[in-house]
Amino acid sequence: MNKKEMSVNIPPRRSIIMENFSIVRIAIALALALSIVFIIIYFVADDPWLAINRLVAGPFQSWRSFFSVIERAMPIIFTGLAMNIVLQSGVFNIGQDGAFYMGAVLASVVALKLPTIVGVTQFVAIFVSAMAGGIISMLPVLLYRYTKVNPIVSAIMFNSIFYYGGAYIVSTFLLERSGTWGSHAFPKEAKLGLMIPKSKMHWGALILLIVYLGVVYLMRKTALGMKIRTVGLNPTFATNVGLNSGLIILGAQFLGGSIAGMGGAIEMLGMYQRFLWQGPVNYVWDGLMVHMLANGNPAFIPVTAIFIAFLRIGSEIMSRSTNIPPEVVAFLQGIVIVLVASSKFLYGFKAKYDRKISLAQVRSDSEGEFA
Amino acid sequence: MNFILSADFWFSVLAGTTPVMLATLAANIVSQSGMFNLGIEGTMLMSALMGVLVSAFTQSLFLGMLAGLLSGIILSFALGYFTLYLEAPMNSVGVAINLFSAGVTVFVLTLITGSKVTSSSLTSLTFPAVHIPLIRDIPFLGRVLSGHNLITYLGWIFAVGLSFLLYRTRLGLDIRATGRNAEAAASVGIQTNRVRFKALLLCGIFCGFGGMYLSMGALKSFTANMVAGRGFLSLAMDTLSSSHPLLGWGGSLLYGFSETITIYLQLYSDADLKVISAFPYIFIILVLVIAQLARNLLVRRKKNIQLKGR
Repeated sequence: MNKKEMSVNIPPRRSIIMENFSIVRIAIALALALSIVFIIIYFVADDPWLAINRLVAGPFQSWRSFFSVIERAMPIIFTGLAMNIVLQSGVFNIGQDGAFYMGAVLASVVALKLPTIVGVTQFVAIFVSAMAGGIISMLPVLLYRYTKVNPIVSAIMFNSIFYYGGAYIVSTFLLERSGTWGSHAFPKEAKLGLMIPKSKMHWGALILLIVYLGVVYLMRKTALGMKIRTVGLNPTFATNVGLNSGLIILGAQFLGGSIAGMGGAIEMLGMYQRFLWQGPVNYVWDGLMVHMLANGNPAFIPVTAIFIAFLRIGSEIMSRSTNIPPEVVAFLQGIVIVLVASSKFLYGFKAKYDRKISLAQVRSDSEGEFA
Repeated sequence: MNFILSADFWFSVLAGTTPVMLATLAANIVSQSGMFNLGIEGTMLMSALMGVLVSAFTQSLFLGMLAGLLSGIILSFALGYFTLYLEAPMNSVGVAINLFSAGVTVFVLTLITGSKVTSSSLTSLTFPAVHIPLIRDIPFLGRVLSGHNLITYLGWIFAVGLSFLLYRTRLGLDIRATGRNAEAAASVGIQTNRVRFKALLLCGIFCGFGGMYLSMGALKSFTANMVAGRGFLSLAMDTLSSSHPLLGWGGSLLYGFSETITIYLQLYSDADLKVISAFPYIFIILVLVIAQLARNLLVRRKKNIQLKGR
């Protein structure tokens, strides 16, 4: 036996990096985007090291700013989870902004107009918002089912309609006629109380944790989650194995929208003294980004959302002591989304590795046959 | 409601239509070539800023226009590169373009002018208004049709030109064939990617003019997020017109009308502002649903006739 034949029998080492390539890819994309942001800061800032220091270490300066990262991340996690369910069902439904805004509006209505009973009010507010959010998020898909209007387009229209509609409800029924535009202050008993003193962390965080575990369990461990993912991955296959795709897709929209609506209610009753959102909310894009960074796995969404919130808070702290505006983070957002979405980004390495492995597989199989 | 009869009202309808019309043309050409550009909003925003900045620093309208068009084309080509060569989903790239532009325009604006909101501290140039010699003298029509910004007239020419290009030329045929079925088009020797990039080039130009109309025509400076959803609306107009440029023009007139009437109603009535502002969107979604239902009905009837004919 000569040397060449010997080497054929040794199977190539399976590398950990290549086996988890989809995660490594995201990490590389992030690193690339971050370094571009750093380079921009380096060239633009008067004192680049101070700026980068503030951006990276700023949120760790005090407990207050550390908790504010988590507070900032909470609505992003809610929409991220909502987008996760919706996108896994194969529909690019961006109606979650409408659901989020309406959720906040309806929660304010419940808090201000119904008699306040501690516990019950909060429950009713969140429940009503969740139901409304679910229905709002189903609308574009229902419309598509009966009229074939592109759901992306109708979702954008619905977002505007629900924003103006929600703002109308606030300014007609809840408006306090003094100073800036806003509702009356919520009664203290109707708010989600503080969970951790000396911060703004409220009991919504606990609800978020429950919702998060629920979504992970639903998508990873239950039949319904499997069905949603099957319908999203391969609709033809799903129909052929007898799944009711239409109903499953609608159900997924409802679940996603209800999480977004709940997020709106919790954000409003947890973080605000009164309803103050005069402009439309824009959490869908954050939710989409967080979903993509988590590689479509709901379990990772809190991590990626906290990362994004960390950068936002860090950039705001940075902008206070340097000349760099916090919008520098937009470079990162744009680049990261594009790179993570591009399935051919770094595709060559993975393809080469796969070829090597399968070639070795074939060789060792055929060795066995002829032996 | 007397204002509906005034020439000023119809003049503002045509003026308000312009940016949406240009965005709709951009959406039309892109979806005719089989793509979906969610990033029109961001592309317009970037062009609006670049046009203002370069024209302010060079004091040359031509260079400003070139910069605005170039940034529009670059962002459109980025969409093409990432979706066609790196196989990214179009929706995600469009979202990335929007997020990028929304942030980066404010970033650049703040660095250069010190203001987060507006570029009014710079003296930027604007496209001139054009008075058409003979038409301006016609009593009512003259005041409606003449005196618009140069870009408005350019947009009208583009709309006609684009429908000519799409339905009367070889390139248009290639674009539509690629949009219908890219593989079939490739099999008869059409270089689909090259055709799509040509479509994206036009998309970038239309977005560029649309954005610059906002910051160098309708207003004299750039303000943050000044596109305000018009890019997204153009997608609705595109669906409404089934990607035909002239129908798209009609659709955006519908938007211009509902937007202008909203502005006038806010001036003349005491109904709540927010409800009136929702009017264009409700109106568009209703028209969209009705148009789509009618289209479905037509398709079904055609099928029935074909079946009977057999």
